[in-house]
Amino acid sequence: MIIVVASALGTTVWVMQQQGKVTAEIQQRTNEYVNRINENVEISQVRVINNKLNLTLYNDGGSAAQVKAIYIVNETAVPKQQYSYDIDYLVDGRAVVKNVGQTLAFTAKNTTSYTIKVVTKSGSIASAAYTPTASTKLPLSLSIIPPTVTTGENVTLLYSIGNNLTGNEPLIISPVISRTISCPAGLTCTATKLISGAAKVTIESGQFAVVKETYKLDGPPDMLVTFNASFAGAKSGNFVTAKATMIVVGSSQGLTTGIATGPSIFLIVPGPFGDAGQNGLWGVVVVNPTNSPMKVSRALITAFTAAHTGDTVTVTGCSKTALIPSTSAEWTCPHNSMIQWKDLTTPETLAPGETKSFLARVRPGDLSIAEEPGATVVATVYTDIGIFTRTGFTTAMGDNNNPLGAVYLTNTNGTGTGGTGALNNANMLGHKSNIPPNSYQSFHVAIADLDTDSGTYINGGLRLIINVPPGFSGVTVTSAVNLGTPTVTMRADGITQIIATTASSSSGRLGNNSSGEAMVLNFHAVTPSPAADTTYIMFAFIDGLTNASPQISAGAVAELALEIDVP
Amino acid sequence: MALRGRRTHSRRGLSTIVTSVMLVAAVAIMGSFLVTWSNSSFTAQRVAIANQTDTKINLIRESFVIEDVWFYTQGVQKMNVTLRNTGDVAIKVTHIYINNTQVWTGSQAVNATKVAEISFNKNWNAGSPQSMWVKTLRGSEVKQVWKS
Repeated sequence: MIIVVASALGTTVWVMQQQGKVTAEIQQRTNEYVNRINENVEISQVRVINNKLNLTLYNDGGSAAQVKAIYIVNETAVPKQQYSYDIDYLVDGRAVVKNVGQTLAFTAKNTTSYTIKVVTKSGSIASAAYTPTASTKLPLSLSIIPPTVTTGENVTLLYSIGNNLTGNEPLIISPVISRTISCPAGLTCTATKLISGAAKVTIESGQFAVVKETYKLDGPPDMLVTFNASFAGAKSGNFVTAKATMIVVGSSQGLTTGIATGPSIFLIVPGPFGDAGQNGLWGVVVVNPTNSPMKVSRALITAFTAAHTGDTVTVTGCSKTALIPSTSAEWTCPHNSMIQWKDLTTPETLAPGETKSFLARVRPGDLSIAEEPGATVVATVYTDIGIFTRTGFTTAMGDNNNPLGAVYLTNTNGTGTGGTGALNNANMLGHKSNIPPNSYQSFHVAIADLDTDSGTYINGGLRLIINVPPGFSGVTVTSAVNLGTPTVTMRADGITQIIATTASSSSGRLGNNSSGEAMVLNFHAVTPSPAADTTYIMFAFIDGLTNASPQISAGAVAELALEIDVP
Repeated sequence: MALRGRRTHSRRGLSTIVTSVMLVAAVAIMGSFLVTWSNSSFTAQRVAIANQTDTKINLIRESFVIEDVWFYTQGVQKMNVTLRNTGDVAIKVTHIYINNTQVWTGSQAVNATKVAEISFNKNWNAGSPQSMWVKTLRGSEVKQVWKS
């Protein structure tokens, strides 16, 4: 029994030992699985260097991984081609191995897409794709701010490039931005790069880079600049375009630089314009509201009458007196009803925000009818960025001696009998420059009958109305000889309106003397305080009737520019 | 005193000694038989258990992965399956199933840590998932899905 029992026990122990061997083997296998789980090989970068693949392997796990095989699939080839090689790299846990693939017999191209897979000894697999920029389209976008510009303005380009390639190393991109200009025939258009974007940008996978460039655009309205953005080595068709268009912004009051493409044109129009044996006052006031200098080579005033061809507002080769510019030869009447200032050789240059007046006194033409109550006045200005026209004004004429009504800015307070200081041609102005902001300023607005016929005049009771633009405050009339007691009213739209009315009696007549006559309204005001140089337009006009028969409306108007220059 | 009748007794049969000897002999014979039988039986069981244990251990030590499946066309549509023996015993691949259909059978030996390729004809559609099921002679199996 003892022997039997001993044998049984021996067998039992042996069986247990066998079980132990199995258990040990299971434990070993489990450990191997755990190690396999703990190795986490990644292909962190794929590059092609010297026509060889260059991989960077990273083992994110804690166990060492032995990379034993690499598979390369040429995704560009048709059909796809696969290559496999035995390799042997040990990648420790949390370690990186670089330059894997440099010793392979495989020749790689940086214009071909590849899928790469590595396999470890324990069977773990990692894969990545190499997609060169020459074989795929990167997401691109291009924004122009602003998309519509005025001449001399800057546009800013924001060019974004996305890296949608996974597995690749960070992309190093050389952005390329080109531009094409569509310019109206015969005119000059330029797009000057002021700020260049980065020559190279590095973009991580899944990230975007933004390149900024700034251009200055100069040209006439309808100039079109097309920007084309791509990058060096881009796949054919991988580009993006955006357009900037030059526009015209109409004239307005309170002009700051940079908001318009062309000049802002304002007028000084007589009313009535005789006829008379002396010269009436005409003027064009030009403001450059752009950020660039502007050259003015011509200023034309055309007065159209619908009467028959024998009726002329002015005549060819008219008698005239040049005021501003004062070179007489520059002023002509090239044909009936047209007054021209021209200097093609040395045009007048207006700095950004600058105002210039073109004033002349011109002899009226002749009417074969008693009255022309509505001769349409058109002002045209030739500049180096285009030709611009202003309409919307009318003058009136009568036949056989009528006053030469005028309203204008003057630099004298009009003291002296008949406001003689204001009748001096040298004191007639269309604008006032270099006005400090937020300062107490004096302004002198004159109305006049510029003919010397004491028998023609504007009847008493005429009104001088001045609209002082919004922003001017504290408007106070300081003197108004023969202009009654002017009223000063602040209107709801911010305009301060001064209305001066002459006496209805003979003392209130304007121009009933042989020397001509002017009346000057002097007022003070505190100027606005704009953030940038701003030109304000003060509108002044006469409301009256002449003494002629038939009576002609006296409606001289003037748009007078007040240029506030911020220090 | 009354005289009782006298009975006469016979003293025949085995003595105690003989009986004991017989019993001992019988037990010895039975014990010997039992020991002999048990030894034989235990030996047979140990052999069987040892074989089973070895088989189980080898099965446990088997380990392989489908390293790569390459779908290609060479006149007809084909597949090339690359197997890596990640264990430390040789294996014999005997069956390959795709989408639960046997596509290959044979006996492809793969030594420990080595790689073997098995190619066979099989129609496939580009971009379709292919469920690969590989079995060895010992019964190990690996199942993976590959995109053709």
